[in-house]
Order: sequence, then structure tokens, then C-alpha cells
Amino acid sequence: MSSNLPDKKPARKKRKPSFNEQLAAVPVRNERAIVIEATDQSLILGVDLKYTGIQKLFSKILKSKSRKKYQLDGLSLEMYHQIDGTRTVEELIDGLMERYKLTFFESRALINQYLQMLVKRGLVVLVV
Amino acid sequence: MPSPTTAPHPNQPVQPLAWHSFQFLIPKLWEVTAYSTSEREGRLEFNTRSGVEAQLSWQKCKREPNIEETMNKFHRELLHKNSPEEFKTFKQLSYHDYGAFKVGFDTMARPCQAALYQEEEKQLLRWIFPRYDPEKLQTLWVPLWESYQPNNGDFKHWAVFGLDVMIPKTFQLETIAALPANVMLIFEGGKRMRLSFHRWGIPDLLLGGRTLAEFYEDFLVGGGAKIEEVQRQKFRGMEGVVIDYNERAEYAMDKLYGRWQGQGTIWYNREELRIYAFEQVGSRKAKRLELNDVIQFT
Repeated sequence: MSSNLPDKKPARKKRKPSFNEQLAAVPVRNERAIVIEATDQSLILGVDLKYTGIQKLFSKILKSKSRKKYQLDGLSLEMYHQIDGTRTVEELIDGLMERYKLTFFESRALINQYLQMLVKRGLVVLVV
Repeated sequence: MPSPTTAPHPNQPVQPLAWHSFQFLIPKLWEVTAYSTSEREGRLEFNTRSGVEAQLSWQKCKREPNIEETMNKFHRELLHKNSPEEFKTFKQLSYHDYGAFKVGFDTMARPCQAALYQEEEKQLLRWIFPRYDPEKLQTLWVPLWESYQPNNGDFKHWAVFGLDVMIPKTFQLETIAALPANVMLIFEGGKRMRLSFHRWGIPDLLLGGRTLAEFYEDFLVGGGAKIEEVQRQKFRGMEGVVIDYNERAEYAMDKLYGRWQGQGTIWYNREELRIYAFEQVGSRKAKRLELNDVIQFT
């Protein structure tokens, strides 16, 4: 039997958000991240680890840790406090610009850097 | 050497831009987001939060090129690529003179170009703006072109990323690092002397509870310096520190024999929330520069 249809559904390529879409994105805290310790200077957060497939089996046998801890301080803590689920990335950039008299691109680079770090660690998601 | 700082710019706050062979006053909100360090050929790109504002390129040319033809050719190629229909009907750009620049544009949606041949440097300077806009032309671009000055005196002007310095033309740009809130320019004057300029932002986090002197000592020691003397000294009324030190002689990537004598000055501009530093290090015989001659800002 022949067919002119492709064998596999082509993988959908993720479109990179435009510059304006990036600015309009809203960072939202991961509700499952729990506060382990909080002081004025630092914040220790815990995120549950999710093992899948064979990892799940090995994690049980090896009694792997089920939670990962992250400590935020300095600018990353300040940033985390600013994330309230309503402020956009652009508003965060403007806030940092004003507070430290930075230029737009300096502030944008720092905010992006910190957001990437928070997203990578599962503490924040970006809603575009 | 003529400086562009007196050029008229009635409506827009401006900042100096000085690179290898040229000086301009550019709008304050424009930020350099891409740059080439080559003296022979390269470009600077300027952005604001609204997007790309302009691109400035420079290119060595043995003879003065036909500027109108060069701009026309660029425009035709662009139309050929992006708008084949317009390409068929396009004849030539409309040309105007503003300051020393020849300016060429077509319609609102198409790029506007301005070019100038620097005879002494045998170099073509070319501004390209993504879309011709008569309002921007009057308020931003004309004052920009009129602020042009060559940068070919015995002291060369370098103004970029918030740093603004004048240094002897014998010094060559060796390194530029433009990180957010952390800018560094390094110039080398042969195997005798090296000049470094720094501009840092977010001072509270940078200092991390240390005094300015402690921070600067740590910074210099981290770069291989042996501290000799630390003195608190105001710089233009601002809190400052001067440190004498020595370090292993170095040229480009090569370590040289012996040690160089260095002096670093750091100061804290609390109004700007920036910390600046300037180091000059070299052989004992090398003539030192006067800090007040070098630093043009603050």
C-alpha cells in the first residue's frame, strides 16, 4: 500500500518569541516551590524532583534525594520578590533600571539572566 | 583637537560617541548593542527598546568612492531582495546634504542612508537607518550628522558604553568587554604601557559590604598585582582611592621579563550609581599620563 502522506508527523518547531513578546511575558512563581528558610538576606527554596522511566526505579533503589534546595540572595532574591504573577518582564526591567540607574539593555540583560536561572531551576515559569 | 560637545542638539539629550576615526553626539537613549573593534572595517549597531535605530559602518577605500552610486546600489540590492515589484520601478534615491554627509532616501518604509568619505583616513563612513522618517531626520539624524568630527588628533577620543576618555594616538585598542553594568576598555602602547578603564554598575552588590579600597585591592590582586600603597584620595569631589602596585610585565597575550609599575585610581559617582577605575601600568621609563587629561567624564 502506498501513500503520499508523510510517515511521521513532522516535529513542530518551537517559535522563538519576538522581542516585544519577550517583554510582555509574565514570570510566575512555581506554586510547588516551598520556602525552607527565609531571612532578610537570603531565601532557601525547595523544589520536588521528578524522576521518570528508569530513573524512577534507580532513584528508589539508590534512595536518591527527592527535593532540591536553592538559595537566593542579592539580586536574585530581589528579583524573586518582584515576581508576583502580574508584573511583566518589561516592568521588571523598568524597576531595575530605575533602582540602579541602569540603561534599558543593561537591565534587560540582567533580568533575562536571572529569569533564565530561575526558570532552569524550576522556581519560575514564563507565561508568554 | 575639535570636540563635538558644542554641536547644537536642541531637543534631544545626547551622549558622546567616539570610536577609531570619528566622533558624534548620539541620542542619549541609543545603546550600542553590537560592535566591531577593527580599525580597518567594522560597524556599530544602535538600539532602543523600540528596536534597531541605526547602524554605523566604516570601511577603508583607496580612493573616494562615488557616494551616490554606492548608496543607490545598496538600495537597489535591498529592493531586489525584498520587493521585486518596487525594484522594477525604482530609478534612484533622493539626495540631500546635511553637514558633511550626503544623505539618500526613497520612501518612508525604506532605509535612509548617510555617507561621508574621510579623506585623511581614506575611509567611508556610512549611517543606515532602517526606515526613512522625516520627523526623526529633523530631530535626531540631522543634529547627529552635524555633530560629526574626525578623531585624528594627537590625542584620540574614545567614548562608548558610558566611558569617555582621551588618550595618545599611539595607544591601540586591545580589549573591549561590554557586559551589563560591567564595562572594560584596555589600550596598549607598544611593549611599554597598558591603560585600563572600568565602569561598574549596581555598586551595593559589587562592593558587597567592602569599602572602595578593599574592593579595588581585591580586584587588582585578582589580576596578579602586588599592592604597594593604598591612599584615600578624592577625585573631582568624589570618594576615591589611589593604589600603587606592581605586576608581571605583559603585552597582548605574552608575558614579558620583569615587573611593571602600576597606579590605579577608583572613584564612586554616587549620583550616577557607578564606580569608575583607571589603571596605567608600564615600565618605569614609560611616561605616565595625567588622570585629568585622560578622563573626560564626571
